[in-house]
Amino acid sequence: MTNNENPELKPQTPDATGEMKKEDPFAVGRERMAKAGQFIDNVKTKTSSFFSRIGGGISKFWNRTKNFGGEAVAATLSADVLAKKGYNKAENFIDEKGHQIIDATAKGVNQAGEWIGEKSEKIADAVTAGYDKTVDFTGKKIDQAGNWVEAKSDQFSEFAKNKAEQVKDITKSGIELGKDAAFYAKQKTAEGLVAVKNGVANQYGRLETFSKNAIEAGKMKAAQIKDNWRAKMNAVREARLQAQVKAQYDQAVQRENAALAQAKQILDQAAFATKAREELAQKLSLMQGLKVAV
Amino acid sequence: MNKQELIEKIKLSPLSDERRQKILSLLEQNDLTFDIKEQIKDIIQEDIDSDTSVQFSAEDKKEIDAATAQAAKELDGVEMELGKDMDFVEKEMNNLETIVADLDKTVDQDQVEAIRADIQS
Repeated sequence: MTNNENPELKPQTPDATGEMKKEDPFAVGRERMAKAGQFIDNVKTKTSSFFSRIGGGISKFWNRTKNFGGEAVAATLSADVLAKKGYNKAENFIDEKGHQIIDATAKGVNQAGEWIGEKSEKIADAVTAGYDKTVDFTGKKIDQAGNWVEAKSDQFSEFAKNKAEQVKDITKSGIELGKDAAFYAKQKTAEGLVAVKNGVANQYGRLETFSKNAIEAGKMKAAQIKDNWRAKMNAVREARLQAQVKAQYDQAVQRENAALAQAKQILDQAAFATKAREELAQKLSLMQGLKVAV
Repeated sequence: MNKQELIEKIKLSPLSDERRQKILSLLEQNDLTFDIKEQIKDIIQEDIDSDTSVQFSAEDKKEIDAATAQAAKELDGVEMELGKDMDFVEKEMNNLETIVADLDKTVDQDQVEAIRADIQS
């Protein structure tokens, strides 16, 4: 049974009778720590929800332009261009030949070979995953075996160190993206669409990583502050408990000494009384002796 | 100390039965992640704080209040920083959303024009 469970040892904290309840000096701090935890949770929830919302919009657009064929490319290349390429104006707008030509065109304009079939699928999937409700805002990363592992705290101190630079880079790439989007809107080339889609995917990824790192860095910093505060509180408690124990031992020793002194006094008194008794007995014996002396 | 060693220590610890069981359940159902460790620390601290036998002096309370005020100030800083970071992310994400929405409209427009051109040709 621990101290707290032993009713004989547990101190009284009466309140039902109307007496003053024992003050909790740690209550204010505990409340502040809880508030910090709640703040971070709220930030996580809010961030997760707008990534879901915005990621949803991006993913929808992605799916429309995913295969870089069909309507979007046809629209991008414009009807004149399509006519020159010999498309038949079939019911579905683009016939088999048209698809082949569009695919070839897409391959041709894509110098990095990125926006073709599979790769665009992967990017579409990544964006879709990014807005999935189960997205993990715990700062985990994938190890080489493809397993989620907890990021180490130094990842977040690195983040804190380089944050200003990252903010600058993200802002800059956002501006570049805006320019690419404006270019595409004007020129409407497949190349322009590639550039913008690349930019959107990259920017989304950067922002997602930045926000995850910011939240985790904040969480770890808050946890560190909480640890430090707890250590101080427990040190005060330990020092006070030690002082209390010492005071109690001192008191016990003092009482023991006082009891000993009192016992000695009593013994001295008893010794004195014993001697007095002996002396009296001798004197009484003298008296008795005188009675019969001749 | 690994997870199993921690479990053994918890079993032998002078925590209350209820809190000991709470921690053991957490450990049974979860890996020893950062968040789980934080939850366990909170439970242990709760157990420590439940001991009301310690009689804190006025000096103790001053020291406690000063440390609490310092921690609160540092937490304010963390929250402010995080708030700023998230405002930045939200702003950039909103820009991204606008760009994609505009692109979507552009593609829509182009499709309409292409179909119209198609019909007219």
